[in-house]
Amino acid sequence: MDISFFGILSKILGSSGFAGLFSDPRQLIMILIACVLLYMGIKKKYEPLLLIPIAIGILFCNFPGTGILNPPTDGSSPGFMWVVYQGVQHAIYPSIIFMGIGAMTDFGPLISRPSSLLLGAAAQFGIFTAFLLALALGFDPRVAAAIGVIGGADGPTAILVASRLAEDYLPAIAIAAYSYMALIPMIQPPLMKLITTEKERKIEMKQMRTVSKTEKIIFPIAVMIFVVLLIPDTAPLIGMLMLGNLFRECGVTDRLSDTAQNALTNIVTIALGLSVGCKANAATFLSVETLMIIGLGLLAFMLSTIGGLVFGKIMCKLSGGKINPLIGSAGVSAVPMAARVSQVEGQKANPKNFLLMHAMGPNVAGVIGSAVAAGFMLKIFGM
Amino acid sequence: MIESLTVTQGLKIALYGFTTVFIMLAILMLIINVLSKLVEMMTPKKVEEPVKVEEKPVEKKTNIEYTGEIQLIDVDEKTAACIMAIISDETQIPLENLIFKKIRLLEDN
Repeated sequence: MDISFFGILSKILGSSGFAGLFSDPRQLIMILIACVLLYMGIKKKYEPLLLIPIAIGILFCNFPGTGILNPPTDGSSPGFMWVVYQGVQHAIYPSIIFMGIGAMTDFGPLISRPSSLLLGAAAQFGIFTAFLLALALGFDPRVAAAIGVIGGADGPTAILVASRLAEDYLPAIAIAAYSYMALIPMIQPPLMKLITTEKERKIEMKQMRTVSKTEKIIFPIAVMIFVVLLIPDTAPLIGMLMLGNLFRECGVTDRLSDTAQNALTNIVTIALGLSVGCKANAATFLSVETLMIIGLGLLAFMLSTIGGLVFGKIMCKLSGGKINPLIGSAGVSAVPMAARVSQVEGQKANPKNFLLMHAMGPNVAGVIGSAVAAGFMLKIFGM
Repeated sequence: MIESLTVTQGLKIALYGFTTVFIMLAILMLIINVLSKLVEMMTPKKVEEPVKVEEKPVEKKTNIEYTGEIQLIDVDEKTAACIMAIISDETQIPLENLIFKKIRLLEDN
């Protein structure tokens, strides 16, 4: 056996990822895309908690020869990311994240003004119009449904639906959903100014009533029973959302509430991000469809905002000018970013305007609304 | 499983879907209203006893003269607005009944 330094070096280089990159240069493009996402997450702070694990997941799956996504075969262990991905495959991570959201959310503003739920429903307009547009553009109905859900502005819901209906497009859908959620302060204000008048934006809203502890405890139980009984497909999302909220409000599970809000959500966020990223292989991601999904996602987001604002205007008229229509745009479920945008825009029009708590009602209603819309899509297309 | 759809069929599904979401959330709205009323009915009303408040002369701790405008020190308007909204919400005192004189960022040291 001839042992030489250059012989060994040549063997190492021949079996290295660098050599593999030359066999399919598209992987190099994916590595560059991952670096761009890392830049956006770290430097621009666009949803860094998700974008950074997603970007690293993209790197993992596009390094040649790692076998990190290999399923188990006879005599060999599965790849590390294959195991981690099972949490997305079986809708475990999005459901746990929803439990965390429930534990972090105060539904008080919604209970105080239940009509906020209608704004949360109106802001799901983008889901169904984007679904229709995707269908018209030739997407498979299941994929069109998954694309539409981006309009709900709810990352875990978009991931859950995509994992069930459009697995190949999961990374594009997840990245679009989280990117637009981060860009809400740029996407929504022009639409708010376009649809509402200066006079409407100046409307000051009255202080909301105090919600009792009993109401806050009964709320998650009642919502869970009603919604899950009516649309069983919403059980993983609504059920876990309300479980998390019950932990928060019942007063006897503080430790569970703390875990759901912090440690558990953080752990699952890492696994979710990596799993989404590791499905972004060059063959499916570098396609015209990805660009179309990103475009349709933006449109879905804008249409949802418009739906909320238009219904906000209707409620403003019906209430005799007591409701500021700006809170309608918070009906998209990006909590609490969308509510903050309503607050900022309301205050620009009238410095005495404090819309934050009023906008939190439609905002959390949007979480329920997008979960119901997702349940509807799963019911129709997930059979 | 639905394999293919025409745009017209898709339009029907979109309409049904949007209507379903609306109806679901409208029913939830009614449920919350009913539950709130029930809780209100079942909660015994507290008889408020008059509380004697000893009037104490208010000490002036600051020499800043209140001019009707809030003084913001190292705090931007957005943060100040959020703080005021939170205080109003937590204390359940309408904003028009609250007077903020000064909001100042406290340094760690």
